[in-house]
Amino acid sequence: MTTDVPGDELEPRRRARIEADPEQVERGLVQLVLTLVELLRQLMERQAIRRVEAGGLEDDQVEELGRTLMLLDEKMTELRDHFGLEAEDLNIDLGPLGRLL
Amino acid sequence: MITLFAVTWRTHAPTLDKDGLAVLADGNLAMIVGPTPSTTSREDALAFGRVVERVASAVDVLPFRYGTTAADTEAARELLRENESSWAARLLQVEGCSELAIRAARPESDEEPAASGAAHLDRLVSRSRQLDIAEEEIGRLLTGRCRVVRRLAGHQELRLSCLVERHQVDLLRVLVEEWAASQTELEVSVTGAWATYSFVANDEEAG
Repeated sequence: MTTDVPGDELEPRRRARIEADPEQVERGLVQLVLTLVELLRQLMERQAIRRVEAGGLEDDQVEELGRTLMLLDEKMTELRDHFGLEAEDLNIDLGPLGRLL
Repeated sequence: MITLFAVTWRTHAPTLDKDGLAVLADGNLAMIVGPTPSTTSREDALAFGRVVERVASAVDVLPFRYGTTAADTEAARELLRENESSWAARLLQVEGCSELAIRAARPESDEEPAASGAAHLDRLVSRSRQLDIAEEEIGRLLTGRCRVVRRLAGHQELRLSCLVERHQVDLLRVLVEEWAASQTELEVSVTGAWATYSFVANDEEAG
């Protein structure tokens, strides 16, 4: 069974897709930057969890590490709220690699 | 420009006669294509998903990701020709299967900030262990009932994609929901059956 879609009729739509909205570009850039920061934050959390589970950290090291992660978490929440983003907005799709976070 | 929805066997290709959808065939495969909307929106994405799910409910498919396009029908046919052997092999891998998605996470709440850094770290470790235990328990339910299980990225929640033979979907859903009912601190959801989105790429590509 073969049925073709008339590509020529769709050409005007293709041109419409490249019009960029400056506000959307700015939001997209903020989203991308915060996504990278969130990725680093989560990697730090995972590393911290591994270090705690492995043992050997002094009490003051645990306190300092935990406090740093807590502040990072708070700051990320503030930034997301400021730019009107949800946590899921920072979980970008990497195609065949799956989602980032 | 045309939007690509899914690839299926030529002999199983559905008849599509509305919304501008069409079937392109080449060799043993067929591709469902349609017009590309002028802008992207949530409604477009949902409409895309509805088309894929409608086709996937009847035949085995390899769904494309939303937003995949080709310049025109000839370019789409060229893709079919170039990828025929690998796509046919992947269609065989998902034959007779659907995807079931399982998610487990602590409910979002206005939990008070921890009283200290150590308490915050304790909380993170405790949550991580809780999800590891959940993964182990769900894993026991899935063993022998899923063709493939993949844990998706994310350490603050457990997300599993399961490639399940269609006749096992309802049983598996019941088993996981029964397990979920015993959980007091985790919110668990089981969704699907979906088209096999998480099993389109081969293992090497999926990392």
